Amino acid sequence: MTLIDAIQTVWGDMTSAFATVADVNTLVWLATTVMVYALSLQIFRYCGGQPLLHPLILTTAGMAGVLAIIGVEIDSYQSYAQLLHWLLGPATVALALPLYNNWHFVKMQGWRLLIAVMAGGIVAPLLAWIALVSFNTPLSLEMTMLAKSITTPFAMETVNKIQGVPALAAVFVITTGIVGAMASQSVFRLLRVDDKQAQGLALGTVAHAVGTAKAIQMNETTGAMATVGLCVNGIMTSIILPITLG
Amino acid sequence: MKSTILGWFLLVLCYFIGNVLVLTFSLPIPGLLIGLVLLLLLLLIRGRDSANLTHSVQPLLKHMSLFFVPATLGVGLYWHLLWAHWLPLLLAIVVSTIISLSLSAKFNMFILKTERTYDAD
Repeated sequence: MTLIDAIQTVWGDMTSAFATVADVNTLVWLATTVMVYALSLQIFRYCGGQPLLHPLILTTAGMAGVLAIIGVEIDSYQSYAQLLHWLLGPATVALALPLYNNWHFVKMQGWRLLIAVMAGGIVAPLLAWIALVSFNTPLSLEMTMLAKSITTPFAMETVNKIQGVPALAAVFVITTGIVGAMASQSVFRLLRVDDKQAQGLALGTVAHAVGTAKAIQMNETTGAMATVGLCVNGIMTSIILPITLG
Repeated sequence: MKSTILGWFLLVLCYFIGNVLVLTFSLPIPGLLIGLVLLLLLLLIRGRDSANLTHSVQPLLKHMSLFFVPATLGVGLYWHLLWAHWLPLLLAIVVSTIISLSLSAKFNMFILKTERTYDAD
C-alpha cells in the first residue's frame, strides 16, 4: 500500500466512524449503551469493586438483554456502535500516559522488570495453550488463547494477525482478568508474596486491566507496578506473537 | 480548553501515524502499538508540559470498558464453539491463570529490587 492509500484508509475509517453519528438510530444506541454502562458502573462501585461485577460484564449482559428484547441483531448493533469501537484505538494509544507517569519504576528496575514481565508474559499463554492443545481444540481457539493475558485492544488486533477470533479474544481476556483479580489475594497470602511491587507486576502482567484495577484498590505502589506490567506485557506480546506466528 | 483540544489532537495524531506506518510498510505488529510508543517518546522527550496536555485524554482510559462492549457482544455468535469446548477452556482460563499468577508473583519476588523507600510501611 502506498503512503497516500494508507492515509486515505485510516482517515476513511475515522471519518466513517464519526459520520455514523448523523443517524438517529446510532444516537439512540450510543445513548442506550452509555446509560447501561453508567448504571453498571454504579452497581460495580456499590458492591465494592467486585471483579465478577466488572462494568464490562454488566454492560455487555445488559446490552445483550436490551437487544434481545427489542429484537435487534448483534451485527446491526455493531454497525451503529462503530464510533465506540473506533475510540478503542485512541484509548489504547493513551496507555502511554500511565506508563509515562510510572516511568520511575521502569527506570529503577530496568532489565529486571523486562525479565519479570517476559517470564509472566510467556508462562501464562503457554500454560493456557497447552491446556487447549492437549484437548485438541480448534486452531482458532488455540491462537486466540495466546493473547489472553494482554489488554483487550491489543489482544483483538493481535489475534487478527494470527488467525484467532477478535470477539473471543475480548471474552478470554476479560475472564482471565477476573479470575486473576479474584484469586490474587489468596494466592499472595498462600505463597507469602508480600512485596507490593512483585504483587502489582504479577497482577498487571497476568491479569492486565482488570488485575490492574484490583491492584489500584490494594495500594498505590501495587497499582503503579500493575500499570507498568499491563503496558509492557501488551507491548511485548503484540510484537512477539504476530512476528512468530503471523 | 486549548490544552484539551491539543491533547486530543496529539493522541489522535500518534494513533494516525501508527496505523498509516503499519499499512504502508505492511508491518506485522499492531498500529496501536506504534502509536503508543510514539506518544510515550513524545512524553519522555517533552516531559511535564506534554503530560499536562495529554492529561485531558484520561477519561478515555478510565472508561475503556465502554468501548469494548460492541466487540464483546460478538461472543453471542460463538456460543456453540465455547460450549463444545468448555472443559479445556475452563482449564485454560481459570486453572492456568491462577498458576501463572502464582509463578509470576514468586518469580517477581526473586528478581525485582525491593526498594523500601517506595513503600509506605
